[in-house]
Amino acid sequence: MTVEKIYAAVLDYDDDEVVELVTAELAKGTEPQVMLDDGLVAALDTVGEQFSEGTLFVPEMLMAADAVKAGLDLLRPILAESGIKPIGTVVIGTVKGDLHDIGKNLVSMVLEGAGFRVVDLGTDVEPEKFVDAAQENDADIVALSALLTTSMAAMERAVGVVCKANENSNLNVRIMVGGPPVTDDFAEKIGADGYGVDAPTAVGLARGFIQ
Amino acid sequence: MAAMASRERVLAALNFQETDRIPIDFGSTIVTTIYYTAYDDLKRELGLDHETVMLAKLKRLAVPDSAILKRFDVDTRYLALGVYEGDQKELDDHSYIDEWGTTWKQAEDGHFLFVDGPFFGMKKPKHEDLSLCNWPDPDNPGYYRGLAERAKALRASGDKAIILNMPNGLVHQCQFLRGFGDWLKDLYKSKEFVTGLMENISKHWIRVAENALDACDGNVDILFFGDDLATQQAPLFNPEIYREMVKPVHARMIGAVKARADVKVLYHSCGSVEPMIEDLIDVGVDALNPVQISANNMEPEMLKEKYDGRMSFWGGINTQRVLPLGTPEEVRAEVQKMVELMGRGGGYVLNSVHNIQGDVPAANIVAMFDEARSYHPSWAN
Repeated sequence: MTVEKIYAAVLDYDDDEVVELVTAELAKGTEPQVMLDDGLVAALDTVGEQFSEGTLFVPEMLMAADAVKAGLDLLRPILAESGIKPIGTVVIGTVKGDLHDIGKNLVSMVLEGAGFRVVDLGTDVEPEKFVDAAQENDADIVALSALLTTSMAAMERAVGVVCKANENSNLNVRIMVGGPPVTDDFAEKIGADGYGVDAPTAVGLARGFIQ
Repeated sequence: MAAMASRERVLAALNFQETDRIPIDFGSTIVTTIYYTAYDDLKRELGLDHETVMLAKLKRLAVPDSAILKRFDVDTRYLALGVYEGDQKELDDHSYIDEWGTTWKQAEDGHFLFVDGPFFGMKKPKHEDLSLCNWPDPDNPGYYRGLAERAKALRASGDKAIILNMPNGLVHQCQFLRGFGDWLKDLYKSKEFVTGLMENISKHWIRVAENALDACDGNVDILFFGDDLATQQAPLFNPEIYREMVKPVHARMIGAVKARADVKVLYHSCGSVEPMIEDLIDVGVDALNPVQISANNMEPEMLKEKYDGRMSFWGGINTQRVLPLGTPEEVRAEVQKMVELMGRGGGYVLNSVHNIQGDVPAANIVAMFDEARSYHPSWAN
């Protein structure tokens, strides 16, 4: 099974090998959805599990996400042509006043690898921008990141603005938050729907939200 | 136990001897000081009205005034190198390029972040690409201007432990030049490049450390530098990779320092760094900062038991929970707990976990330092 080879190439963090295998499989007529689900997404889930268990680390997560992205870049146009949509849309950004983006980028990459469409607003994002982007992109989820303890107030404000838009407009998004100073208790207190301690947990949360 | 002078107290603790009270650091390194807004609150609380002096490179951090150091009986003093002269460029009020070619941008709260550098965005860099960086000169006079005089004056002003702050570390400097994520991937995929990168940075670092220690001529007790090797959950990269790639470089850097002068080495890494503590002992680190006790696998009880008499701990009062969110009584209880536990047999210098953040109430800062200076540990009887 060559889909298994794609799975193995992601676990070897070998982007070139992934591109070669996916290209060859497409030529043979293998279903893109099968390559995506059983090759790329399955491999990223395996890496994510080992990351959460503490046997793999941030670089392995980044390298696996790179390999998955190399494959996705080939598969995405074909999936789109055949009318297959992403499993959901996530608007993500680091809250106002905070420029840190490493954790947020990692979560974005892993969400994309898991089949989500990700709209990344970058860092230092005004609360209203999350609402606007969610409306424009018909998003399912808004994901907020903060690194500084002093950014936690900005996170609370942003969650408040998105919640209010959920109540007062046609917006219907779930909100997840993450970052070093954030805890489950804090997430609950400010009205977020979930907290992801790491990137794989964030993917699990996002999958739960769209079911 | 007889009263000790500050320098003697700090060095005794770092030599794993018990002291009359716990030694205290405040403001002696760029990661054991205070966010300027919290400092302004602290001045008000103490009825002081001097002008706040900021750390030049990191404009959001304040240097505690001598009146405050005296008020809290702080045992350590901050000594820093000067600023590199030439090759920097102000882009606008909120961004600049440093002497290594890294672009820094300021966030709303004053925090500067690196956003571009000489090796950013390169796919699979090679050893020969190292020439793309305009390597700064370790003999640049700006680093050493006035350093000897400042060190001498500090020594003359009282019997304190003087901490020389190195302007950069190893891992961080790699990240500033290459980008955070790409550097991590290079450790696995571009080993030749990353080895050369660390070689160049460490050669520069060693030369600067040697020059600075020579200039200070015995008026330095501790040399400080830092990296970040861990996230709150786990080491940032596999400890095996640390051992293979980074540890030999750390060993060369610290070995050179200790061959040059009789100083202790204080090393900073946030996060869940426990799996590398044995390695840090190997390479000659005397004390580890900031002891982020809320991170995974960093429980102070376990650290003390496992590394007692081999690694000192410097920091440990939780900046993410008890300091911003607790009452002054809770802060005092936390200080007592840490002093009793970590100070027994020496090996502990008290400070917050990392810089005191802007959301810490002044009453809690006062409670932390007042309790540390006045608490009489049961082991000191």
